Amino acid sequence: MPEADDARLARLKALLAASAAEDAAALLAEARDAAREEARSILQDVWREALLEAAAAAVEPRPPPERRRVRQEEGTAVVEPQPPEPRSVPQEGTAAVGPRPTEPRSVPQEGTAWWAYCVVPAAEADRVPPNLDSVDPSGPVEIVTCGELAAVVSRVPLSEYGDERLREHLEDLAWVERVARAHEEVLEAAMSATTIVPLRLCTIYLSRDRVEALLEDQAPGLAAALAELRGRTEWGVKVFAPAAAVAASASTEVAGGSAYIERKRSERAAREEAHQRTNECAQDVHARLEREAVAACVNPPQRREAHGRDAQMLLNGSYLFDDERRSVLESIVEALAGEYEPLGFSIELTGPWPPYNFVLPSASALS
Amino acid sequence: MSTEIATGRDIALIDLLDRLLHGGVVLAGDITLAVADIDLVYVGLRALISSVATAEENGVPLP
Repeated sequence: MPEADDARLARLKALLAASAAEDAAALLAEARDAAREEARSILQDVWREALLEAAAAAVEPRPPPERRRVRQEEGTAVVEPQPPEPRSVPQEGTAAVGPRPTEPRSVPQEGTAWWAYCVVPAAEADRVPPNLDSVDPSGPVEIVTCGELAAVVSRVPLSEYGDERLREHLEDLAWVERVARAHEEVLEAAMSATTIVPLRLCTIYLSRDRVEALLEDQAPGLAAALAELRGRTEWGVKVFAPAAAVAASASTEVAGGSAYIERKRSERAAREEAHQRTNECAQDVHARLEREAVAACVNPPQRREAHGRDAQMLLNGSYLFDDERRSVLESIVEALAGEYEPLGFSIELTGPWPPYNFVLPSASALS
Repeated sequence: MSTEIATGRDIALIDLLDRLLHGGVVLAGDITLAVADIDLVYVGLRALISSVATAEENGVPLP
């Protein structure tokens, strides 16, 4: 190839290189703008989620990690039974269902144990309906009395409820559900007849004597709780956000330019307004119920994958009401529904519940 | 009020477990649930609910 051609080619290359450099700069600038916008949009979504979480949590700052029962008034029942002796620390590795004797003792894997449902005043124990279905067919529901207190219990075989087997069962949700519903039904039957202190699921004793000892050891706290809970019932109120307020606007955008930016801007404004509204709704619902309740307690909102509804839970509250003021509770909920449901919120009243949320688990009292 | 407490009233399992596993008095039982056990139950529950939700979305007929 002649030398002149080489020179022309070199010049052409140089020109192209210059032009390419310019293009590259423009391309980089465009990419940077697009990336910045995209990042901003992602950040907005993350921030919005965080704000919604905060809004839901705003009604009660909750100390992690233990759930805490918030008592709003003095003089209401807080059962803080202290175990008679220091609890044994759950063994590492086996962690799960730990035997809880006070001295190293292994839980036998056969024989009979006693499943405890609730504690009632001994004087009213005979009001507990007979022939209730127990958690396990191997024994009917019975009463163990000690002094002023009585425990509602039933026999369970250790071959099924000993710590190892019990742990296996816990992985079977159908088993858990069956046992939970049986436990609940005994509690509901008992609470329809007398005052109860509900026990947490799977509270099991190795002998009748151990149940009696428990009643004796914890007598003051249990008696105080029964006195405070008499004539009172727990109710649950849940608030769900309007679908639009939390609808993740993760629509795949193809359009570019200012229309896109404008759309994002108005979406953000709408989200801010929605966030404001959801925050106010949850706080208002809780405040108005709390004002009329004997005690109130806010639990963490259930996660969407746990409640299974296509809406974000904003409030998961429990309220203790005097039974004679049940109509007050119902009219508050009705009024709140009348105000907020037209805005797309959904308010759900559940109960009556045994007062699970108004007895302090000793575990957290100790921690 | 006792008339309201119909046996077998339709209680959502999640509401029930929230109360039964986190609420109630924890007395010194010989066998009780540890935090890890409770977490285990919730893992199972979430898995179940999300699989049901997925099946519904996909139009799979549920038993």
